[in-house]
Amino acid sequence: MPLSAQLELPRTLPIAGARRLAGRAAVSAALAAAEDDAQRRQRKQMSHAARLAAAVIQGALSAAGWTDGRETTGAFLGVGGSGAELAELTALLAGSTADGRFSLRRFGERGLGAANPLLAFQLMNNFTLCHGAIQCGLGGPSGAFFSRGAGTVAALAAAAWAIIEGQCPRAVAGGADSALHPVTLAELRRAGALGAGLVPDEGAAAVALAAEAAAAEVELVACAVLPGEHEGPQPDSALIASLDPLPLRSALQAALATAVLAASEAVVLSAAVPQLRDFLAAELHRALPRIACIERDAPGETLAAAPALALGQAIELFAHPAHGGLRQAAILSIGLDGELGVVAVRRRA
Amino acid sequence: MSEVVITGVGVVSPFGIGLAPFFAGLRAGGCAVGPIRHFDASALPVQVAGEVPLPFRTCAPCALPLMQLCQTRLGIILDERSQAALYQADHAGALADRKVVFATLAALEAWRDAGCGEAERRAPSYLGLGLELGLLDDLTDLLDAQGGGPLDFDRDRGEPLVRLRAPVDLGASVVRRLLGLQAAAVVNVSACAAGALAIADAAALIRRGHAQVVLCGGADSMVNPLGLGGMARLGAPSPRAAADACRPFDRRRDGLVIGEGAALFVLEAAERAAARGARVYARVLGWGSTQDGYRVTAPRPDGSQAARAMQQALRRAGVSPDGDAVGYINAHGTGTPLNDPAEAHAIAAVFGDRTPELPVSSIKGAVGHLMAAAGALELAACLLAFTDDLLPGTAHHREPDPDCPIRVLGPGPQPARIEVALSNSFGFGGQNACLAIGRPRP
Amino acid sequence: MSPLARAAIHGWALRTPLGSEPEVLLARLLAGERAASPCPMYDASSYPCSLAAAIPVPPLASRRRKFLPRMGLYAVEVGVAALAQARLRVPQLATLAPERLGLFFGYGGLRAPWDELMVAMAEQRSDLEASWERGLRHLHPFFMLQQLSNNAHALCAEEVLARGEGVTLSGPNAGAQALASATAALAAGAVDAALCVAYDSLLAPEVLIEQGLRGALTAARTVEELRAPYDPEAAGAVPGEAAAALVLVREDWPMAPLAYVRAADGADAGAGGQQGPAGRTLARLAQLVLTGPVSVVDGAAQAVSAADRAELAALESAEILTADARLTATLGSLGQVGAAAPLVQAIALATALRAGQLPPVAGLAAGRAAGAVRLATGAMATAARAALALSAGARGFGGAVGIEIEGASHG
Repeated sequence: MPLSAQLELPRTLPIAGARRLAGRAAVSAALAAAEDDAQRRQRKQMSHAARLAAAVIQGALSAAGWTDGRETTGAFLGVGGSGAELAELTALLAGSTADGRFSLRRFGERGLGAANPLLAFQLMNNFTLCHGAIQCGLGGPSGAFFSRGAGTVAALAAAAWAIIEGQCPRAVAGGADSALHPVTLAELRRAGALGAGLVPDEGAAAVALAAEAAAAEVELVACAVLPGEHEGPQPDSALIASLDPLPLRSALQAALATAVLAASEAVVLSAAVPQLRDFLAAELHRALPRIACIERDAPGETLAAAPALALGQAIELFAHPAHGGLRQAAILSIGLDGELGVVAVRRRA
Repeated sequence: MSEVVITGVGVVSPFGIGLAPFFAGLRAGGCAVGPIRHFDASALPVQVAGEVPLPFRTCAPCALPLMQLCQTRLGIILDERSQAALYQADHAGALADRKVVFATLAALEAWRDAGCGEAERRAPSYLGLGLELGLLDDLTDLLDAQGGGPLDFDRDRGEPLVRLRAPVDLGASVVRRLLGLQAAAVVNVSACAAGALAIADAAALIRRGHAQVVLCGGADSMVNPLGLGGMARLGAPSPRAAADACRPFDRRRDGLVIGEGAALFVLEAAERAAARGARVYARVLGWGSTQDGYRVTAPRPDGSQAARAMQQALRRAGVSPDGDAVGYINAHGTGTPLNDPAEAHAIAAVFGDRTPELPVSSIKGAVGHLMAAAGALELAACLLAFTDDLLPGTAHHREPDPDCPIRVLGPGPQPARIEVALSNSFGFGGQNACLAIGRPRP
Repeated sequence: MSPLARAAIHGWALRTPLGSEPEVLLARLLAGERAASPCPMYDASSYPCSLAAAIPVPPLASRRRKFLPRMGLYAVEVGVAALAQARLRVPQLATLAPERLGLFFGYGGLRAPWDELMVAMAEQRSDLEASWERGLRHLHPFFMLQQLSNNAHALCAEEVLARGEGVTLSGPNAGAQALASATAALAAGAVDAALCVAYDSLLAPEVLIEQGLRGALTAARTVEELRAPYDPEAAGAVPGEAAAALVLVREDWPMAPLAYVRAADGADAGAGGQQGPAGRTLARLAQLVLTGPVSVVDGAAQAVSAADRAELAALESAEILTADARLTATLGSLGQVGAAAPLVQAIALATALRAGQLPPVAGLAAGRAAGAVRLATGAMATAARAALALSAGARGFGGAVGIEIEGASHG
């Protein structure tokens, strides 16, 4: 199947609403404001990323005005690694030591008991999605996709196709993650990503997609993940598949040659490190010199949240008075997974 | 739209390495649950599991033992490129996670079984994978290095503070490099529904014409201290350290048993499979996905959303629940007090008057709950209905529960010739998936 | 009482002409099988010795194939397999620091790789003129790597991540030397675990020719003509091949081992007859590894009448046998396996003791004993928990291994 057919959706989907939290400051403010009593009680079951996800899922639903029909609304999210709260882990470890070293026996006899009994609900990756889905009463199809970028675009595509193929009339899709989790941060440091210019941050974003949404101003036109041509050995870091842009050159050039991207007037670039961003910008400039290249406004790398934040940013362009004439925008994202995410949105006629 | 068929199967289960021991275990009505052997679980609240009998430790270099296992048990000899990929993965520490080893073995078996090679290198892969391993190991190393004091992640050291040994998608990455796959890998982490959802997504991809061949399935291992301990704190596993700890749909049930393993499939467009004369195990007819949206700690007691998932699968398959097309349901059947009746009510809601005669079984009593791999392994179990005209039994089910008003097969397999089977996966967090598969066309 | 420390065996693996699993090997030994057949590797029908016992399964396919000859591949295989088993049995081994795991290799010595050499040498002149063009250029680029004495050791170290002290030894009793070195290193605390590997093949043409002419190898043309070791009319052994590995730790580790082992090696310049060590040399080595009289002996099985008689006489006079002692001969079934013998015998004996069964001297008819020591002429039950294995090599080299299983009394 030609790339354009894979990239472009067979029908456009209105984006009825969106919500995004970009960066640590925005996250903190939003979380403090958003919690009610029930959510505070539920907090001990939720990882930090789950709280972010719940906030943007709720926000997207509110922005779309979807107060009913939630039992058939789907939810698809790009999620990051285990989000266990450090306080729980340190309590668990503190109870598991003998003579200053970890003891499996102490772990079983004492350490486990020192942690929150619902720790598993923080650990399990899908609960980043499920807490928000449960809080909002979503009952449609769902998918939690592991993501360092591309998985979130896959989640978006899964949501789009679920609607197109009639699995559900509506779906929320996005990503939530924190590169500031100490375990993740330590690995990023060890893998040399920080030295390569990666700025760790956190965030979340979600869009509300629908088969029909009369009031929507923007619609989803294209969405796909394009793989890189990676050869060579397994990388030493488990977290970073590749920071080398060259394996993605063919995929990017092919994508830029498609009609759907050529029709875009602006592109939001989301890249994990500066060299990937520069690569995107250079190839874009070569292939589509007239296109406006826009840096993502969340400069830090938010892993699973990054493409969703960029999508949210692109959607906001259409509402900005300075872009009154904007007809179509695209998002190009490259995360630590070495794959290219391509999304295109268009102003509805 | 293309019809989707299964042309290759690879399995690693507590019954052994390969599809053959898995089928042999099911045919014999056996049970592979037993004391945990690959680490000292004596101090943990859970001491039995469905453990894969891997003949080497993955925490030590294991590329050569893994290759030897491929050769001796699966009859697969890796070419130079694959050997190099395996050694590189081992050197990078990627094989330390047991589920990565399981995914590797299952992928190799499925790929060879389907007769795939260079022509299929553009196949995407959709894998359901579970929690990353190593989080506890990473932190305990850090703790030891700091002399047991409070964890300090910000201290600047020359050596890495923490090493994430096995993030969730590592298995997919290793499999891609091993088989030389060039297309994207999508990793579904929807807990107990992950494997089934990955297969559904793969089938959808072929049906809409975006791919001709897809590698899909699930691999998981929560048979480790944090996995078992975390589950134990939830109260999900049975407190009994016995082989019959998990008794699906039995009146005496008191919890699940955690298992580990992998099942991978090669899904293919039917016309492509026919053109190359490939063996077809089954047709993937339909799938359904819903969420309970109810509570974190429990499924919907009425099973209404689970029922909707089954109805969606049947609708997509073009099969009515009223007729006799559906001949068997492989239940999620975890053996927990809450899940089993909820699922039973869901089945009854879908099949109505047919419910008392419709055979249902769960293999979780025999192999444990494989979490992200459960849906995939249980789909493999359904294939026995088409290869052997045999429905897998329900290990340790001896006393039916009036709260589960469905026809649950006993421990032994039952001969039956059926046309359509359903496989249910209802995951933690309320994610529900149902797959419908059909007998291959004559 | 033996002055030697004993080590605990927690993993083992082998490749032999009668099987690659200890239990399979024992079953075939108990059945009295002999691995001898007309040499399957090449046409040796015109050689002084034409019978051989070859490992029937090829080495597993491995990327090491370019760097190792056939026996070297087996060596790496058994080393990795033994360590994988040991790591399963003893979790501490899985997390042992690489610097504390030592490798101790013993192999029989370089054998001429005839297939490759013939290509390179067939057209050579005696004055070596234009030797490169005449054939040396056809040598595989890795030819020298394949001939390096310690290549298997190095590649095995890479496979199992071993960076501790170790050694590669070469010669007819290199297996016993390696085993003795390993146990000494453990006792000295130089390493915490030792992987000991021994491998050898006597199937090379030059060995069949030389040893056949010396009378050390049988001239029988068929298995039916073959005389068993300790038969008064025995006239030469069958050449064989094997690779075997043991994983050893100090005996103070808490886990119950597969068996315990002591090893000793020695030589007497072939004073004992045509080739092998004198009987008294073997007896002396035996005394080094035993803590008391034993009732089970796996003899050197040289199958040369004089040497066999000398061995039995020396054992009897050294008072290291119990009154009800029986002698078996693993090497009589497998063929002489050179440097690999001590490790193969250790595994076979330990497996036999654990099963409570003693194999016979294969092919030895009842009543044809060569001396006063009673030979096992049929499979029999045994309650023995200790045993002695003896091996003899060319030029007077010898080895002795003492095996004990749990429940054996020791000093």
